Amino acid sequence: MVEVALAIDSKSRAEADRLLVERVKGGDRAAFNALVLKYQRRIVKLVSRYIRDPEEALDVSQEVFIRAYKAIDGFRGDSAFYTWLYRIAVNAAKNAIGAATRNPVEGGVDVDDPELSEIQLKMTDVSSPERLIYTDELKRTINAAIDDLPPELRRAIILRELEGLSYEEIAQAMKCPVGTVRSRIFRARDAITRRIEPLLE
Amino acid sequence: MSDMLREQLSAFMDGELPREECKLLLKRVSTNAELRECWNKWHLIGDTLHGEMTDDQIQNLAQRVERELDAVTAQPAPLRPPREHRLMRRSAAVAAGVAVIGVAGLVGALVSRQVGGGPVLVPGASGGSAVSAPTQQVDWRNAPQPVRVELSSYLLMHEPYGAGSMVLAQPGVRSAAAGSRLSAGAGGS
Repeated sequence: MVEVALAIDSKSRAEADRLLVERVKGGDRAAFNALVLKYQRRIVKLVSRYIRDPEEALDVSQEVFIRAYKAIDGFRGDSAFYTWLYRIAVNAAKNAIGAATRNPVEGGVDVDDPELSEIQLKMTDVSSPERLIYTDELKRTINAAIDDLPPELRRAIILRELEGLSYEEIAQAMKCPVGTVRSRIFRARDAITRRIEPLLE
Repeated sequence: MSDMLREQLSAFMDGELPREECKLLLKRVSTNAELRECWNKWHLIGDTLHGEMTDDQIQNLAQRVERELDAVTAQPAPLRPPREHRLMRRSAAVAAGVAVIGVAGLVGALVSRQVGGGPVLVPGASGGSAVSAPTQQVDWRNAPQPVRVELSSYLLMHEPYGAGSMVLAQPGVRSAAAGSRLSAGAGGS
């Protein structure tokens, strides 16, 4: 089920990414910022598998995005944007290790298969204790917010975020129009956001 | 910021926004920081539910990248002369290169005729030469009289095409030993 959800999720992700990349190629820096906002956590987690020091992992992650921005004209879209970014990240992390001759935190990241690696990453947490505390608190707050949602919003957001279903599939499961699904997911996100805002500040 | 806009953003994030709505939305995303903040928080929610790392340091990464890109893009781009000037310069460079090779060949032929042996001569440009064979310096001024006369007349004839290159070639030419080979890989980075 996790694999199915990831496949659907990455497919829908790819279309939004493709449109954003087009805009970046046209000189839209804000579109690139949107891509960074979207992938920053995944990239830091990936890089942290190679580099123990959290500050250095952030530096390398920053370098990954800078490299991606500089090379974006060469990205032809043969693969998904994340697959391309993932390879840049793995290479940058390996280079950083090579430069400092450090041992990676975890080996075995598959350079050619980001989806397989994502599953591996989920099974192996490489977070620092501080990060774990923050992440746990955020997760608890989000779960509490989801529990407090009206049932139709709760079901819609769970089917989308956790089960990875498309709007069409959710509409079938909930026996409602696709437009209603779209509205419910938005309202659920909006409600959860209001709950986590104090934590983010 | 309207709910309609944010609902579109939510659908876009899920890859479910019709194409015709995407273009306008993305223009708004480019100009509206509040909308991008919304995008960030919704991804944060999704990532947290999917078990990604989340902390305030990571939240600052996008800002760090922005600052770095500001610095990178603020560096002035090298000025490019008009296209016709570039073409003229390129043609002159080709002509100069041909002239240098001609001079080198001429000197080589003359020197080898005069001093015996068969050195292969290459222009004495500073660095970047692909020749890795052992070299020895041959000063053109020490060449026998007939060679200097022939060389001078050659330089005078070709002076308009490669004056700058000739200046470099004159003080000395590097002579690669006979039988030496060109190192094809040298100079590649």
